[in-house]
Amino acid sequence: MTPQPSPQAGAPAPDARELRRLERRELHRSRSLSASIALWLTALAVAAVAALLLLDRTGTTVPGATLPGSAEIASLAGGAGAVGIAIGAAAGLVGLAMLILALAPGRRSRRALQREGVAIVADDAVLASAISRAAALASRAPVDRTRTTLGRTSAEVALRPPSGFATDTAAADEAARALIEALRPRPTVRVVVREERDA
Amino acid sequence: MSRSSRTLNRMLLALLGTAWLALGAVVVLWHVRPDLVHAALSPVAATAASVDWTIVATAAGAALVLLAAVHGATRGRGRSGDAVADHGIAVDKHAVRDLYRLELGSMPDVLDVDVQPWWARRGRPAWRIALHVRHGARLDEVVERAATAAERTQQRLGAQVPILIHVSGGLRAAVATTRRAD
Repeated sequence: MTPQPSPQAGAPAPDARELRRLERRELHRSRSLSASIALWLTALAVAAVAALLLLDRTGTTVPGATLPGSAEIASLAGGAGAVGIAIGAAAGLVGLAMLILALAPGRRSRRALQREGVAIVADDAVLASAISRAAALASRAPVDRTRTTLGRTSAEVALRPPSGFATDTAAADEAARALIEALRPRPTVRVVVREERDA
Repeated sequence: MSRSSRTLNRMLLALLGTAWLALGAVVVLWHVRPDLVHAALSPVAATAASVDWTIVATAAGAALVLLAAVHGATRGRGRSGDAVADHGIAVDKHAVRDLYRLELGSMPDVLDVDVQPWWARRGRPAWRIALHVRHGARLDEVVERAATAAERTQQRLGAQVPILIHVSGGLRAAVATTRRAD
């Protein structure tokens, strides 16, 4: 069987731009849920005001409840009072939260590994544990006493050998670097290996 | 992964956030410095008084509720149960997953594999392959073999779609026992 694009799907060969797009979507959070909540919140707030105004105009009363009418709604914007200020401040905070959600980068703790032909994304936790293991095996330190803290562009490997045992920090550094070079994460990660001794 | 527009979501959030923030600021300012707000709004006061705000609020509320319903109903679409192979033949995603697993071979580091085909924008198909791996997996080897297996799976199915591979740990990795002598 020869590989060829399927005629019905009409798919062109996966170009680099499409792969980058997939990768970008996987690296960032979706705001579908927050956008939906924001829309519903706004819609219900406007609809509630509209309902109160309509009830007020038609003179409908709900038994057992005193609903605010158009005079109260107007005084919320016009009159003085702590309640008005509190409501205004709350609306401002809601708006601020929405703006932060819209403008923040929304990165997930994952990173892209550069490779031809496919888009690969790995969780930071997986990458950190892989670096830990490579460094520990190379330096003959126990794997469960090795910890890697992954920043955006740096990986800090802390080796904690048991007392009385020596570790080969240089070998750990080399192994971790070799792993990073093989994986080619974007942005690239600088490795710093240090040895911690129990006091 | 779906084909929902991320840009639209962010624009909606930015727009609504600005509206809420502006409304809140005006209400607070009205209570703190009413003279300032009155002075600023005096040119439009005559127009505002002639508008029937009940009708405006009702129309706006109905339109927003409709918009919210449509927005909510159209999120997260595009996932498909079938992958399209050569000559437009639909192959179930589980069959694709089994084939992928076969191509991957036996890898103790890989706990689970999942293939999710979906239709990206403009009807273009794509695959998302999720690999759950153990803590401390040999990531270079996993990535190498995962990418090769993905290419071979495509070749065998005669498909040519963009593939995204997501290597994750997750809960399964946390509870899995080590089956390897380190």
